[in-house]
Amino acid sequence: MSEYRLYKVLDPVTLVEGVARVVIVTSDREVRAVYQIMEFRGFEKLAIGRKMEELPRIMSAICGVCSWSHHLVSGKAVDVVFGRRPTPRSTLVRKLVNYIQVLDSHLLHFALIGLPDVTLWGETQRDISKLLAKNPELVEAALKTRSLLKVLEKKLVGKIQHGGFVVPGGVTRGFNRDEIAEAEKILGEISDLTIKLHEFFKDRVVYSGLLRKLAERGEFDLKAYNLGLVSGGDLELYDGALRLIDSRGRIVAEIADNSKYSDLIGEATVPWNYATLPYYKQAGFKLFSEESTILVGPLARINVSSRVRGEKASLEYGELLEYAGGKPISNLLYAHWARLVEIIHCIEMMREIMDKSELYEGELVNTKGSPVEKGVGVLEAPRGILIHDYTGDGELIATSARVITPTTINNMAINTNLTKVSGRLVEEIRSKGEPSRETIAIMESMIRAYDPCNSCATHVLRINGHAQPVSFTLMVVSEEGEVLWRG
Amino acid sequence: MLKLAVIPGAICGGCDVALASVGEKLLDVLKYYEIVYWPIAIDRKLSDLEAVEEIDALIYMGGVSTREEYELARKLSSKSRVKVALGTCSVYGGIPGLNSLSSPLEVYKVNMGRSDHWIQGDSLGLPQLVPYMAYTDVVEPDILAPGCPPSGKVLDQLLEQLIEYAAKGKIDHKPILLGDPESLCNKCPRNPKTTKIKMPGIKRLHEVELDDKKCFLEQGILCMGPATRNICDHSCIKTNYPCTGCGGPLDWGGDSGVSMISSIGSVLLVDSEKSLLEPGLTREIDKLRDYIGTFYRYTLRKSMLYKLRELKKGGLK
Amino acid sequence: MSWRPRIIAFFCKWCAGSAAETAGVMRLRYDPNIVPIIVPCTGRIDPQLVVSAFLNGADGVLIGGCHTPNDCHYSSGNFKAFKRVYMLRKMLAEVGVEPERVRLEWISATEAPKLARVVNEFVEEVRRLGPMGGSRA
Repeated sequence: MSEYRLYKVLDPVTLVEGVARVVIVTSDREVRAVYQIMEFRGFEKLAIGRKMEELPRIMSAICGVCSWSHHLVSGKAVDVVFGRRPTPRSTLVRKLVNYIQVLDSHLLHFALIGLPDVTLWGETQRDISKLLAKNPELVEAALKTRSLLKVLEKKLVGKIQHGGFVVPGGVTRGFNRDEIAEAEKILGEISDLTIKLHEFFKDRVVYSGLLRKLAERGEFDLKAYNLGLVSGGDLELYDGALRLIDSRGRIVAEIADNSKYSDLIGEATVPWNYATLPYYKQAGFKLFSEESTILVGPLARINVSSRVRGEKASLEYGELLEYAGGKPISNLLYAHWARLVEIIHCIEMMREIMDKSELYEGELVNTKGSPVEKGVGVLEAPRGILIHDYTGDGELIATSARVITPTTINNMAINTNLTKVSGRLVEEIRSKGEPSRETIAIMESMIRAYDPCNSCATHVLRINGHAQPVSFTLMVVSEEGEVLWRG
Repeated sequence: MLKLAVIPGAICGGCDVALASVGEKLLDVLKYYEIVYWPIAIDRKLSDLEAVEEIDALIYMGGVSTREEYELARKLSSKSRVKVALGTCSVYGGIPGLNSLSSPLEVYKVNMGRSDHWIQGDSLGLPQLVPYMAYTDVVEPDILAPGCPPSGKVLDQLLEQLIEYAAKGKIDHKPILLGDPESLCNKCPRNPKTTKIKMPGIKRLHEVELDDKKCFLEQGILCMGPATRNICDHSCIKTNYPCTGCGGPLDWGGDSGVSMISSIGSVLLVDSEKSLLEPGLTREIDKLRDYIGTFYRYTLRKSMLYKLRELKKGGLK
Repeated sequence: MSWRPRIIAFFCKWCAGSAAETAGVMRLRYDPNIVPIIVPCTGRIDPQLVVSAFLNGADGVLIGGCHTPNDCHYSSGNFKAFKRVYMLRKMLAEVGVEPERVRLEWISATEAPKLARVVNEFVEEVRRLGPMGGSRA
């Protein structure tokens, strides 16, 4: 796409923290929707010159919603740089915190955004307040999980956003049995409430046939590469091999050495976005094409893994696959169900860790190791693969940093997915002068399904916040800049 | 009903989530204020906000990184009666302020420089970058609520101030800097004997196994407590992680870096000055690396050091 | 009028300050571009004072105190000054301000000629470095 003109502007994307917008771009033969990310904070630059053992705390500031994901993955990278294998106890602590992070983020999205969005399909306003009117008990349960999660997090990690506890080779504090006993109680309450949300979802969205109906819409379809961590083929959120499958489900690559991620992922810079567009390197960069797009996140994880651990999670996983008719699932609306599977998985995995005696015994930090120049950390943040790649000098001062966040990777996916709608959008505007309610709803639902953490959307650039009920202010602007219609 | 607007600038989302998590106190505020804009919670567009003639209280989160953000911050602030800078980025620039010494293009090049693929062309109206600044560089705010993110304590104080404003109609002695007017050490849960601290040397965070009861300085670890305003309940210290100074300096207009090196001068190797002499002392001080990232991690943009650098470049009047 | 360097000099009253007095009595000539400020001890000098001096127009800051290890009237105030100045200079260098603009010197009460020499040397050095404020002339 070497020459194109700005044809329409959807500006801004509201109810998203920060500012993003959707722009439609046309050339003579094609129409594209473009998701623009618009803030600029420069974490890769500010990391230069910093002491590398301090990077986990510094880089956690990339995101105030999934700050622990950044803190943990930064810790993994500095473990490598300092040449230290983290102690078994500290690894369990970190894994536990990772599960809490994913659980928190997923529950937030599922309860406050995903559920309302899908169950209220057909209505203009699809958010928690609307759902409150119709199903107050459900909303109460959802909000109660929020406060319980905060209590749990405060108890175990103290400062909820940007707390520091990761050091090279370990963590600064561990848990004792009393704390964990209390945490288990709270987790039990969260689990019970989650069952309510689970049942509501299955009833209203799955058994009612709504999901199948929506899943038939081509607009939500994305036949792209899927990338996720696996451990022995199992869905894995902390330590695993990078598995890439193609749109037909064939394993294209499986890389145990995470530091070789750049064999799979390349980044493209475009002038209309402060975020890069990552793509599948072997395919070569093809803007807005499924052929070089990589999807990450809950749906991708469901697709790439062969199994999900945890008894209940495994059952749910099986049911999801049966309903969808097998893998890989290409319809993004299934991401909501995938999130539910992971919620159940996280709760079961947390209980497993809390039962291990190794969580309470042993060293918290390993201070022995021979430093090396480069270190890469990879883990699964709630929204997908997160990568921190650091290089340092002989005194362990950072000389460069590279951060690829899941929403950056999905930036390309969102953009590619949006093109499936822009055709009808242009048609409607040309013929009726305004997009239909339905088209707007489709675009909203599509973006919500990705759960973009616009906070992280780029290491270079920050958009704030995480997925919120997304609705758009649509504005149609002619090439001369004249506003033709505003919605 | 008074009008309250919450505006995100260049944020990470932490302050938004923190504010949204205050719980029932928010309901007290909602007795007096109607929230006319708050993207994380309320479905109102910027165009709606543009139609509002006067905003009673504006809460701004995050820094300012683009021309659009700058114009918006200025425009909305000029029609707001009470302006609140929420969060350390808004008050002091925060961690992104570490890029203050570079131009936006230099920062952008770091990302562009290692891409595998470049496309030229139209920027499609992408907003222009401006040298990064804090909200307090755009306007003079009435209430400053520091913290990364602000603690429950500071948020409670903020909401109390807003309720007071609703009742009294004015803010006493601006700007109000929330938190306690003393350093963290005074209230530190490790109860240090602040007049008898002896720092045995300079150690980096990875060089020691951290003791969870002793003052960090007494372990040779740099804790920004002495130079940081007491704005929190010390969650970091309780998690056995040293304070990194996210509350900013003790007072508005203060500087965390010069304060901290003064403190270090007071406590470093105080028992062995006369045996180590200058060569021994310099040997130890030479272990200190990255003064900016250590002492100005959150406050560089508003620091005296930044002003000094601007003066050197010929920028200050 | 061409630019003249403006130096703020912090002298402790017991040693360097006393030397400055004596230099006057001895009619030793030293560069008039300095503004001496007498403090009880160099240990009182907060790095913030030094930075403030620059922000308020100084092109260089000179600090004169008692010899280590034992001349300090308050035992070890001079050691505190030494550490602080050393760190401040490193910090200045990190933002591109020449650390040579801050100089610490031990000058006893009987070393008036040394004081005169140090002042002259320092003013010359600052003249060479140029004005602190970029294009101010």
